Amino acid sequence: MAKLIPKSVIILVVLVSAYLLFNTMRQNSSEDSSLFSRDPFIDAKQLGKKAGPNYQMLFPNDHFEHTEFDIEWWYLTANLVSEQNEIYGLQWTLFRFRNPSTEETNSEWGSDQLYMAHASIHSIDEHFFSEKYARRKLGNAGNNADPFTLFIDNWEWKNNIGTNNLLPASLTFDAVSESGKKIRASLNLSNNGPLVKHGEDGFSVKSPNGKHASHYYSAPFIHMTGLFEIQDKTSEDVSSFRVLGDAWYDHEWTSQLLDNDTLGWDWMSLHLDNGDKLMAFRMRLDNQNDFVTGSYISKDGALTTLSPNDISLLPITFTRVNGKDMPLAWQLSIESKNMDLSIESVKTDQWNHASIPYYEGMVSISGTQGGKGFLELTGY
Amino acid sequence: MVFVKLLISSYKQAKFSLLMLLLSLVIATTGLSAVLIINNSAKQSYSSSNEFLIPNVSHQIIAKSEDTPITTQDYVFLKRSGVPNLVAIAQQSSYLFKDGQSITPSKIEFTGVDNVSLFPILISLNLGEEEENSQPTNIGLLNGTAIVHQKFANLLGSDLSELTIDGQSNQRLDFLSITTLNEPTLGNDMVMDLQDYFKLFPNASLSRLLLVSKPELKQRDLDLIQQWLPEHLKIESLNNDVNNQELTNSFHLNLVAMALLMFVVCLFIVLNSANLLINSRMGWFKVCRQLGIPRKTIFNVQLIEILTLGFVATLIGIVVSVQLVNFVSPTVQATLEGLSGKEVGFGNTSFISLLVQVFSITAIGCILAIAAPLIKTNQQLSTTKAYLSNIKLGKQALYFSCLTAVLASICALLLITASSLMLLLIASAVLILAGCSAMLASYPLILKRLAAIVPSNMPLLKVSSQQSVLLCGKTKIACCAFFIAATSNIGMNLMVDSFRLATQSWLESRLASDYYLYSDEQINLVDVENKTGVVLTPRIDSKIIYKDQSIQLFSYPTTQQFKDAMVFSDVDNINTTWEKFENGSGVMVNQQFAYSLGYQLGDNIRLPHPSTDTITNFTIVGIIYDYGNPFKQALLPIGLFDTFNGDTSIYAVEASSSQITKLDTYFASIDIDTDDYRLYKVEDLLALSMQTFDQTFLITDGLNVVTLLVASFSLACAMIVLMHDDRPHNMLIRSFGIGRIKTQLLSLYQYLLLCIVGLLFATPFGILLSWVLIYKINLQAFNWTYPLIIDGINILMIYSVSIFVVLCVVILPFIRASKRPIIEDIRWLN
Repeated sequence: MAKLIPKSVIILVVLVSAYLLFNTMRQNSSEDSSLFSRDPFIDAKQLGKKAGPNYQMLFPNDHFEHTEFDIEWWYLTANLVSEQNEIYGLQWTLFRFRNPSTEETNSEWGSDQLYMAHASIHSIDEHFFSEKYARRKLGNAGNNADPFTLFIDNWEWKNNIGTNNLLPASLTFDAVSESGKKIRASLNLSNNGPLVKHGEDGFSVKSPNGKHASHYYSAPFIHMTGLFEIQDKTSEDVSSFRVLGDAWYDHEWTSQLLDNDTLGWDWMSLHLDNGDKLMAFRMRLDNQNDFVTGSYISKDGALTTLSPNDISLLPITFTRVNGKDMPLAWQLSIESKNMDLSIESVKTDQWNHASIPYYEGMVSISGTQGGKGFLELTGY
Repeated sequence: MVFVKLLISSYKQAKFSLLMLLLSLVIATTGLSAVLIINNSAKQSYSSSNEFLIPNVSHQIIAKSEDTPITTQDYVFLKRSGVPNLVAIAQQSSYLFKDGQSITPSKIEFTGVDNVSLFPILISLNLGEEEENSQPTNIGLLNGTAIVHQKFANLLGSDLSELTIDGQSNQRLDFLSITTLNEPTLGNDMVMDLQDYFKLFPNASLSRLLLVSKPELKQRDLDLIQQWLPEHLKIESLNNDVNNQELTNSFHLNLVAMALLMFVVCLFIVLNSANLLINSRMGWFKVCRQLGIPRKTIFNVQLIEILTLGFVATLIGIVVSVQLVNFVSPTVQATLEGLSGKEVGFGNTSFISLLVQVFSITAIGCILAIAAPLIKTNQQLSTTKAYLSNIKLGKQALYFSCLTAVLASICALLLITASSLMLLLIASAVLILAGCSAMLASYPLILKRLAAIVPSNMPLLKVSSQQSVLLCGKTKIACCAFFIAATSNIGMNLMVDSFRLATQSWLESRLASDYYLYSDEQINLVDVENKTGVVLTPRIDSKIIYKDQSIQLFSYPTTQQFKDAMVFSDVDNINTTWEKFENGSGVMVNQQFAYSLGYQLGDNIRLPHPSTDTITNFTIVGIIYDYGNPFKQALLPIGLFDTFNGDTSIYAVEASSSQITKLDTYFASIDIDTDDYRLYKVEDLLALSMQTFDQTFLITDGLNVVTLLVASFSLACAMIVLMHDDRPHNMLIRSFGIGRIKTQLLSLYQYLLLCIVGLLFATPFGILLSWVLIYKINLQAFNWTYPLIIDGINILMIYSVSIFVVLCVVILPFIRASKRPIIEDIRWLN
């Protein structure tokens, strides 16, 4: 018998059931204090390739994905200002996960690799945020060569001179606010300095025993210009304005960052007023002391790796955000540089309401140096 | 309190009546609970869908035609273009086989969802958990998991490796693990990620792309999406408010109607049983009155008693109904889904809520049921005079005769003029009422005639026959109910049996070949015949549009064998018919085509030529039977299809069993796997068809039996009541020295006479009803019909069942009465 309504009942069951399925899975690790559940990785044989000191990082090849590693991200943060002198914090990230419990099949639906992407734009009053997921083989997410492209659905980072280099590039994405407004960002990224490799030639150690490590490089000298178009929920009106500012790009890949010992991390990317850049990172581990590292990058691109003895990074003030006490004010000291910085979040609630929620937002710097940057807090 | 004590002590004497009442109440509450449970499940499924439908999934993207389905590339293209919140769905219905048999009567709905796309959408729509408790999600767990309802999981069993899809050994579920979800919308469904779905159905395509949006997409959003849509896809709204509202009303109406029907039926049987009980107590009610116990006390206690019995029966009824519903659940589910077009899940029913519902309705029913007997009791208690029934048979007969005439006229008018199904159904109801009225008008007269026929040298029989005339006036309601049930039963049974016989005979004729082959593979017919000796005759299918409707255009061979196989509903000269058909000027159409479009033999129609697509004139040379086909169909000779690239998936096979073996070998040699074709022996095909037929009418048959049993039971209860009124007559017989057994046998004869006359009346009306169902209702609803075949054996079976049930119920009181000593019989006073 012909059905008068297409199978909306099943469709909605699917929605409800998917929700419940995911809900059930989220409840599974309620007692687990680690950042990601490692259940599929219980067998060490299933771990992806390990980051190692002998890896030679080469470009442009290493701009592309490294599927043999468990997790990877291409991470862009930017401190922007509009024509009206309003400040905006921008974050665009593409994540890749490898899941060994998923069988790679011949089907375009069967892949052991998954992409997740976040797009976030903060003004002082508003937050636009969207999240996407995609399967690797389906064709709606991934990275391409000729020219270098990172994409997920209609979000795209694309080299705009047709080469396989990371920059210069255009970046387009959209996001929605809780009030229902939509923002579309069309941005141009140009490089005003070299790429830098953290740690030893890109091999970045993140724990005292060296168990946690990654391959990690950055492009901290990006200049961003572009256009924001904001559409109101109810009206057809679109308001648009130009923005510009400094951006910081990270590309990191590892199989050793996320395990049962990892409680979370705190990360900062700082643009100092004197033109230097600073990356500071605190790894919080279970039953171990916090491990603080960093990279000091002078304006000519020379990188100095900061060991735990070289840098002090301490939370000063905890503020209640989204039901959690978050360290939104920090004290950073680098004795060798005579540097004593106070780093404070520009806006209290810069929470990303994602499937894996975390704090990511603009900070201001004061002290021996002024500046601006981004703060990321995970695992709280 | 005195009266209560008296009542309790009277139970020893009123065991049978109380048992009858309790049994009636249990039947009533069981039936009512079962219907409410089924209603609740269906309603939950329906309201769940409506509740979630509005905020989130407002539109979907589907293919304009089945020939150009949605591809993965389309999905990717739309996502890359920026269509927001798009989720791909793939769906397929198949049977799940275990040990060579399907585990459910209806197909399982397999649904694949792009969970990866869906997940962040759910998060953003705030359907997820509060962030205070947020923990990361391991998306890897999505794969290899299927969501099913707990009850369906019980059907699947613990070992999924035993299950195959449609019996295909290469399509197993062993890679899946089951997660249960007691969501009422879930019926016989398996919901999984698309990765697993395409493992099961590698050649399947996407069914639809959902647009998930909160709030609903605005027109500007839809216009933007429309710009991106490939040519072969379209956007469709899922919120078809008018349709939804109509369906909701219709669905609810169906459910309410079912519940009301059950309530009325139950009320009826309880009424008769309550009547029985009250009548059995009439004697000591009068004694109680004489002792000074007020009527009000008597009535209140009766009311409390029946309500207490009602409560006990409710508890028993609910327990029994749950088991009953679980037992019949798969069939009922399939029937409801077929009737409503909605997926019906298993549903959850709270015991307390069901208890409250059933007891409330039972209480109302009990009060209504006992009201009539109590009113009658009140009248009888207010007088010491003997109650003499004053049956003015003549006046009643005239009244009912007039009523019969009016109802018959209305029925005839409706049958002649009705253009809608509803009016025809009303005509059926009026027919039955007319029959009822005719029976009431004629009952006394017929019984009088029968009494007159009995020879005078059989005085006892004659007296008893005359006594039955008096009795028939006191059992109108029960006799009417019995008549209605018997008429419906005869009508439905004749209809179903006619259909069964017609279908069987039609299939036996049309399935003229030795075997039938089903395969989508390209087969070289000449090569097959040369190498194996097997003659394959393809049926070339196509669909055309005729008068804005989709019509099946099939080929038909013109060999003598197939000419003989054809079964015509309407045809002129058979030789001329085939001549015109063979030369390409004639077309044969099925009844559905002819009746729905208003065509007759000899009419000209213009159809596209199957080879050239040129619109060509054809004359309708034959109208054929095509039972159960929902589509209109036209047949043209296979010769016209020579150059046409139509679809061929069915072949008639002329072969011996040894040639069939060669055919299997041949297929293997050209790389056609055994999974790519199915070969059915004609006897097996016929058996399968008839088995499906019987399963389809399982519920109908069940309901028929139930209604007949219920009506017979009620009639029996009414008869037991009459046994009290009959005691003066029996007293007279006994005082003449007639033995007690003989006396009771004569009483039994009276009552069975009522039953048999009722059945005799029901027979012609049942046949008429069958005629209406076949030639009017079936034709109106489906545009096809079949010959009515009156099977005497069938009717006799109905007679037997009815009389058997009546006998079973009345035999015990009769036996008890037959054991009464003569002194009790002859001293009985009203």
